Amino acid sequence: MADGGASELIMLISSLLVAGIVTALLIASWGGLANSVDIVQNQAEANSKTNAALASDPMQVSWDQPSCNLSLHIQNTGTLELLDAEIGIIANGTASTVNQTRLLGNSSTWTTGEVVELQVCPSGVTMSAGQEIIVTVVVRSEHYQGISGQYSFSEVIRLV
Amino acid sequence: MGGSVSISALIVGTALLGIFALASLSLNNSAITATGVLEENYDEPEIRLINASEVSGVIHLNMTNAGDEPISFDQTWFSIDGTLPIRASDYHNQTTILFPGETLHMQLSGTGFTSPARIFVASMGGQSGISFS
Repeated sequence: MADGGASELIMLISSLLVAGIVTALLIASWGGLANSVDIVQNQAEANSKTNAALASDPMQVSWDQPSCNLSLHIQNTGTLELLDAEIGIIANGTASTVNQTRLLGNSSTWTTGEVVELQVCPSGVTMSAGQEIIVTVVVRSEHYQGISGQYSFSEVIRLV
Repeated sequence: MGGSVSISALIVGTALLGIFALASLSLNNSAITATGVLEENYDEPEIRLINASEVSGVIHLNMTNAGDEPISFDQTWFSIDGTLPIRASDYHNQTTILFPGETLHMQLSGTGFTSPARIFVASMGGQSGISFS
């Protein structure tokens, strides 16, 4: 009788331990999965709120070969504020340096509807007036729920 | 023996119920996020310049909103002959919005342009350009 009671007690403790371990494993794995889904969701949401478009006349974009200066104007068409210090430009297939940025219209931040003027230099590239090239612009937004949104677009422009 | 199995099953069952509740909550959050993402993917405005002319330094132009969304002049920028974009609301303050289907005659004075050749408008991704007549 006493042996039977002891073995049942051992079985009870063993079962509780196994159940506890299984429960902990299930909750931990779910927690990891939920965390991953949250990050992906936040990234998708931040990206959807990040948008930009060319505000320059694509038929008449100023290019000065001697000073390596391409003038572009980009409008924030998303709902998040964009970071004017974190812009990537690829002009005619060449990664370019953004030498200067300037907000137009007395704005202090690059919020929705505002336009930034960029002075860009695609180093080592020879281009001439009348040439049509593809410009790719990559912008990054301020943090939204801890994640920064990204957006890129390409447009054909004609140099003058 | 039977009692210990029952208690274990109760613990695991409770944990599974808890996880199911968390999954439901997460699914609900996902649906809300997806709705938000879809709402952000709005169509670009369809803005059209119909004609433009310049008389004594004043630029006259007719512009229409061919889309379904109102267009704010605060977010509308003109570029004349490829120069620095200027905000529409800085030169036109009689109205602030171009409503869907509305055609407006605008007069831009003080731009400093005489005999311009082309004007281009950009607003939140919508674009249009036209030569001066």
